[in-house]
Amino acid sequence: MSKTLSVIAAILTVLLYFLVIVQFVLRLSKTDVSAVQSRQETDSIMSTISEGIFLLDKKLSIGAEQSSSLKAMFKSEKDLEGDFLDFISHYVTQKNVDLAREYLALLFGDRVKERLVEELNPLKEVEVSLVRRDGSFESHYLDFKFKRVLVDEKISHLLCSVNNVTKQVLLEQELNATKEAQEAQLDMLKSILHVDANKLTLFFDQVESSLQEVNQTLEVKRKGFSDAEMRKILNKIASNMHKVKGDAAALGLHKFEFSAHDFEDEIDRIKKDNTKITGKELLPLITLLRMMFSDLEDMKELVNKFSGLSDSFTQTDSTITGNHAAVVTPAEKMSDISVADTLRQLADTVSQRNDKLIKTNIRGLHSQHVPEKIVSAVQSIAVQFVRNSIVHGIESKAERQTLSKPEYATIDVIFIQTSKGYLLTVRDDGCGIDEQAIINKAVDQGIVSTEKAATIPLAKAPIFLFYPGFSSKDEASVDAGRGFGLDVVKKLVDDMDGKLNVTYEKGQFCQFRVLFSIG
Amino acid sequence: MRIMVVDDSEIIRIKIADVLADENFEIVGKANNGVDAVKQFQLLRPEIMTLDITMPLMDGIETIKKIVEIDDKVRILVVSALADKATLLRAMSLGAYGFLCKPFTDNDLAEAIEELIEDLV
Amino acid sequence: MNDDNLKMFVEGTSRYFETVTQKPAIIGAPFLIKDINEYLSDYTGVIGISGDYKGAVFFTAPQRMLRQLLAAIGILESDEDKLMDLVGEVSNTVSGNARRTFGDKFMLSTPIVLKGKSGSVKVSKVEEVYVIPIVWRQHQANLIINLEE
Repeated sequence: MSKTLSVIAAILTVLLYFLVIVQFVLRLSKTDVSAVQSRQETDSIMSTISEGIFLLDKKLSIGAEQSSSLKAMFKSEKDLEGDFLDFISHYVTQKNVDLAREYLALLFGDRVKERLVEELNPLKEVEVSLVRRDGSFESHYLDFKFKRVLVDEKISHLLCSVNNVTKQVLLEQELNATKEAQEAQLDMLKSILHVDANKLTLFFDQVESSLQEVNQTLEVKRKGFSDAEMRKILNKIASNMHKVKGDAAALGLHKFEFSAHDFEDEIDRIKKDNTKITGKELLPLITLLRMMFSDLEDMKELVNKFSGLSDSFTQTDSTITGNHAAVVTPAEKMSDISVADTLRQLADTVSQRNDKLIKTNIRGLHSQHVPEKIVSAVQSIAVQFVRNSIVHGIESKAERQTLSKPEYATIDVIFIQTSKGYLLTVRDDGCGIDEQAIINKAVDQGIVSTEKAATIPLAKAPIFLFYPGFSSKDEASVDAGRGFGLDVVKKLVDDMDGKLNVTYEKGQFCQFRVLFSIG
Repeated sequence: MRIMVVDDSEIIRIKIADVLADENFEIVGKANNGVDAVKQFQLLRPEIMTLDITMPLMDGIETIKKIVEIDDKVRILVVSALADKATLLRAMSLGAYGFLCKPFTDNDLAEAIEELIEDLV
Repeated sequence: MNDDNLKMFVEGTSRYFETVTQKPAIIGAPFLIKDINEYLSDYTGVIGISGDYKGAVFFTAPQRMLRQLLAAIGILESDEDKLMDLVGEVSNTVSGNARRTFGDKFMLSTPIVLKGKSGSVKVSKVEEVYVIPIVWRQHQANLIINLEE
């Protein structure tokens, strides 16, 4: 009996033991299963989410656990590894790497609140440059977010999530650019509304050819690039720019006027600041030139869009200024009428800028049969004479009062056709010409030596006014003083085989005459 | 709480002091340059400080370094027009607790100070 | 396009000639062009740029200059491989200098070398590409800079 009992007991014990083991094994496999399950779940998450996720330890090493999309963001075949800053230095600028180093250090330190420093994250929407297969660069924008991971209330790791925000950033940039472009267009539009389309087109052609001339002068192969050659180039292009300035001022297109003025300023500075001029010193000029070409393009586009509008505006304009308003139809040559208005407007602007009182008397510029070429030259020339008159010739209000001259100075611009040809006369009742001052200035500017100057009869002094680089004012203002005004006139006259003549009486008047023969 | 205001602009000093006084802070000192700030800090030992970056004689960054040497428990709020990440990260790394960019509203300042001392008291 | 950036590339290039050959290069008058292809010479090193400014910088030189340059460096064989190597080297040096000064504003790619007029470089509608002539020992190379913000 006891034997059976013992056997049963033994069997039971074994069974029990067995049960325990089975239970244990079962429990183990359940844990295993749930461990496997949770591993599977994590893998699922990691392989599906679009964000790049990884952990950074205190040494800033990239953890092995990463979301699959992470490597794709960097166009990499394998998982990211190693030092995070080292890794990122291949994709962002060095400055951002340095800032990131400081930022991450702050995050691992426990002094600063995470929320407060978030703003200073240098890798927030940072530009990342990825190399394409053909060696060129592709720009993407990635957003890195870092969060502290706390274990037992101590910072153990940083969790980093990366998002590709390229589309959003580019869209925002485009929107901003469009907004800026629209504002710029509106400004441009405001400035050209008062000018008629024909006049504008003519202006654009003139400016285009002047700018092209400048570019050609710079490009054309010559005998080397010596200092003397460079100075020659500078003088020539300064002359071109001065014409652009005059033409732009005449139409009230201040943007071009000021750009051309800046260009001239820059040329002056280059000549003054350098004893030896090389191509390097000319670099600022082509940046300006490029900007002017691009502004010209923009304006042309704008005018094309609105050409219908501006025509109707100009009609109204001529009516208001009066002079030849009586019968104005689109069939009439608008450009002739506008020359007079142009000059009046210029006189207005320049006299205001120089605080002088001027009355203009413009006659004869409305004739119908004058060739376009002559009209254009006449306008450019008249512009230069009128400006010089106002700035140099006409005395200040106080001076005129002292001299008992009429409060308002008079400038006559008269254009007639004679048997000899087209005659333009510009006359002012200002201070005439001070011959000795001109000769002295010519000596100052190195145009003529002191010895030679002593032998020049005073009556011949005015000839120096037409020399490039001659200036009789100490400081160049927007309107005059650099002296590149009358040489432009001389060039235009020479180009068209014309004749130039000046008469004056000191303290009384100064008169310029230009004759263009017919045919 | 005892607070010191450091800025080279009198208007800003007055503004900050006004807002803080409303919030029941005790303004114990004001300085208009870094050197003066450090001197006063030595004597007064405020718990909180607002500090500008661009100041004559010694700028905010240098000032933070010197102040932290004396007492690293002080809560410095950088109040500056210089909003570039590099400068602010530098300031924070050296020991500042927070920053506020100019121009700021009274509210902005009050909130910034609140956050600064949230976990104290 | 910043004057300083332009100046930096120009100075980098002239520094190369000065340092390597003890005979400096002369910088000619710069001008603008629309069609880069027209101005490409026998061999061209291209540096791609991205960051604050995007585009490319080209150093293009005639083979006669490159041969003389090789000789000045002390290399007597001037087979095509060496000429291409040299033009790449000049571009590399210029870009390296640029990275040192402006590393935090742009990223520069490693140079690739083009032979002759590839016909595939962009043409713009307005004169907006800069050309700076680089004259050395009577030969002229061009530094072509096409960058936009």
